[in-house]
Amino acid sequence: MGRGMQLEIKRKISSVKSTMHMTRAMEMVATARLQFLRKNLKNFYEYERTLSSVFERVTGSIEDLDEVKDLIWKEPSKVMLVVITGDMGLCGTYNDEVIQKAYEREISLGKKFDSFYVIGSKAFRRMKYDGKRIKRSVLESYSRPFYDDAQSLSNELLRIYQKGEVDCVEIIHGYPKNSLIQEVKDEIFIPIKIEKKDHEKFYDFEPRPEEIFRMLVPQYFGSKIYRILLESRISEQNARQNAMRNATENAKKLIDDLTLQYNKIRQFYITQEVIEITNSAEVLKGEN
Amino acid sequence: MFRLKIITPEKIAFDKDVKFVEFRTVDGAMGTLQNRIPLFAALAIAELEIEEADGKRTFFAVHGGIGEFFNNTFTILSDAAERPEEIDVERARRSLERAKVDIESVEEIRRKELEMKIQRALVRLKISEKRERR
Repeated sequence: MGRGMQLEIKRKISSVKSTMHMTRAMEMVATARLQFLRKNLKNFYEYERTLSSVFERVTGSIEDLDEVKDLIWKEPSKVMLVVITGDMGLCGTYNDEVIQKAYEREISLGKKFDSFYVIGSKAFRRMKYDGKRIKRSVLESYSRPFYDDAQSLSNELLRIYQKGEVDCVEIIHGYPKNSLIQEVKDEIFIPIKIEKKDHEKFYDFEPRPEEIFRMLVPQYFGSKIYRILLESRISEQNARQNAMRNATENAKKLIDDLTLQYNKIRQFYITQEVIEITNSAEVLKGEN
Repeated sequence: MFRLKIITPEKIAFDKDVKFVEFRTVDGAMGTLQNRIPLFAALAIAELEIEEADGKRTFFAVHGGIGEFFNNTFTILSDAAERPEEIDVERARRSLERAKVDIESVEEIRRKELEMKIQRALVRLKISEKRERR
C-alpha cells in the first residue's frame, strides 16, 4: 500500500458520491412525474370505463352487423405489432422486457406477422440494429402523453387498418401492476369482438346505432390508446424510480465500504508514522 | 330533476342535479327533462345549455361525443367540454383563421379534420360570448 492508494480511494468516493447525487435526482424526477401521471390516469379511468360500457352496449344493439363488418373480429392474416417503449434508458430492464415480448410474439405469429409500428426510440434503435421490418416509428414525443396525440395516433392506426395494409393491430406495452411489479401486456386493438345483446331494445337511438357506432369509433379507439400510453408511461417511470432507488442505495453502500477502507489506510499510515517517530526518538535518546 | 354528468378525458366537468338540458345531436337540436326513456345520442360539436336546480343557466361548449340517458342520469362523454370563462378566445380566433386559410389548399382527407376544427373554434367563440354578455 502506498500514498497513491489513499488518494485513489478518495477520488473513487467522490466519483461514487456524484453518481449518487445524479441517481437520487433522477429518482426524484421519476417520483414527481409519476404523481402527475397517476392523477391523470385516475381522472381518465372514469371516462374510459363509461365510454367502454356505452360502446359495448351500442355495438351490441346493432342489428345489421354486415354494415360494420370491416371492424369486426375475424381470423387475421396480416398482423401489425405496435411496440411502446420509452425514449430513455436508466429504467432497469423495462424497455428490454417489452422488446423481448414483441420478438416472442413475432415468432409465435410466424407467417401472419406483417410489421412493427414502433413508439419510443429505445425499441426503434434495437429493432433497426436487428434488421426488423418497421412500418413506421414515432420517436421522442410522448414524454407526457396528451389526449390529442393519442387521438391522432389512433386515427393513423385506423387508417393503416382501413386501407387494408394489415388486418389486425396488436399493442405490446408495459402495464403497472403495482409500483414494484411491471408487466408487459399484449392487447388486440383492432378489430373488435362484438357480443350481441338484446336488452338495450327499449333505448332511443339518435341517430341509428350503426351511425352512432361510426361516430364513436375514433373516440373509443382514441381513449383506448390514451389509456395504454398513460399506463406504459407510468410503468416506465415506476421501473425508473425502482432502478434509481436501488442505484442510490448501492452507491450509499459502496461509499460506506470505501470510506471504511480509506480510514483503515489512513489509520495505518498514522500508526506507521507514530512508530517511526517514537523509534527515532528512542534512537536519539540512546545516542545522547 | 335529474342528474347530469359531463365527463371528459381530463376531468369531470359537471356533476349536479339539473332541471333541463338542451343539446344538439348530429341530427338536430334536442332537449330533455327528467324521467325520459333511455337514450343514446351522438352529439354534434355544439353548445349545451343547462337549467340548474336553482334556475341558474349554465353553458358549455361540447366537442362532440356521446350522451346516454338512463335511470334518470344523463351522462355525456366528450373530448372536451368548456365553460364560457374557461375558453381562450384569442386562441380560438387564431385557430379559426388558420383553419379557414388551410382549408382552401388541402386535399379531401384532411378537409374533414379542418372542418371539425372550424366547428370547434366557432362553438368556442359562441359560448365565450355568453360570458361577455353577463
